[in-house]
Amino acid sequence: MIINNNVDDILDDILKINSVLTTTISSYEGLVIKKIGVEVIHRKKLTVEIAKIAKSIREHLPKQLKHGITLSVYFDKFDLLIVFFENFIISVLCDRDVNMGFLKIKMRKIIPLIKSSL
Amino acid sequence: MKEKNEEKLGKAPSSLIFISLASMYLDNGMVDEAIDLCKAGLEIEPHNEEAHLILAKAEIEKGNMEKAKERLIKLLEENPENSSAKILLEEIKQKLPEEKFKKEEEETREKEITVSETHSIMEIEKGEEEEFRIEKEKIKKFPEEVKKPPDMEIKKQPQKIEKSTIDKETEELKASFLKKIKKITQIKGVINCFFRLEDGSIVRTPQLIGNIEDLLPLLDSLLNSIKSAGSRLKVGKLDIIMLEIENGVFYIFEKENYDCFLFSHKADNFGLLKALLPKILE
Repeated sequence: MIINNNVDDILDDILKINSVLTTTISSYEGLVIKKIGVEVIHRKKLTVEIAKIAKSIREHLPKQLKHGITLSVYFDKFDLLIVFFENFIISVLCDRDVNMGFLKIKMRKIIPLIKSSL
Repeated sequence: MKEKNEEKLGKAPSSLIFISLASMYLDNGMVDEAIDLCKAGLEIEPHNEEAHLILAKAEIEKGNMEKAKERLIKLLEENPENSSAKILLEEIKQKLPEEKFKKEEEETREKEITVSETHSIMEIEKGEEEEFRIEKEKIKKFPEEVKKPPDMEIKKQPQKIEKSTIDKETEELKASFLKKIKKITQIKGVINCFFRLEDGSIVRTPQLIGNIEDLLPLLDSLLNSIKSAGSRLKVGKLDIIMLEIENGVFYIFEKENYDCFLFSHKADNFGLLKALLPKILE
């Protein structure tokens, strides 16, 4: 997958949101395509686990969705936002006090830009 | 043209999910939404029998009996063994006055035939009665001990008590969950709610739930994969899962002894749910 330089700026925009720790673009095989932010959790491990979750979603849901499938998971220590697309997955790891609503709005705006940059 | 098709494909839900959602919409009185969803799905999968069935049901709800009848007849032409379609078609026939008249005619014809057969049936019944009387007399001749072994009676009694107390407890438990469902479904935007208890049993209100059996594999595998991810990544206990797709939002509230599954039209009630659910689920 070829990545345009604009992706860095786009991901930087997400990282500027309060309590966002890391943003990753990964493949359905668990490969890290682009990473940015503080490595709180081992990034490779995280993308592998996300790929496993994606597999269980792909078995039951359509592969092609215009706006993607958004999964928000709230754990004790962190919040995780994952957006699944046809060829790639964007995941954002945040602290528990993140404004998830604002983050989702921001994601919706930048997703077309990321799509065009990949 | 290709772009248009791709757009359609993009909007089209997979058969599993769109059927479940359409069924849920229908069960909750959202007939127009069910029709729209089925029609969108049928553009991609024109031979999906489940979708045709739900659409026929929705058409009945709308009062379009003829449309529903035509759809079901077509469906049965393609698959004459579809029992659900047969049942539904029979229901429509009963509702349609013209068909009702035909049926009455058929019934009277059947009556004429059955009168001639009544005599032979009565003879068979008489023979059976005689057999029954002979068997009864045979039993009477057995000694009392054989009829009621005392050991068995003693063993049976405590089992009965145990079983009845367990039944009572589970009934009480289910009643408490039903109360919770009632409260949860009153929250703005919530379409559906059900609980899965520790033993795997599902607590749901029949008037609210559609094909949850179709949705459970998705929700179950999602829950399991997220739980195992949580423990491997050491991010703490799982609290809430929120899955947003184009047609709605699924919430899974993970608790120690049960899982609470919610289906909502939009995600804008998340804050409200997050605040209210812990109190309701306590």
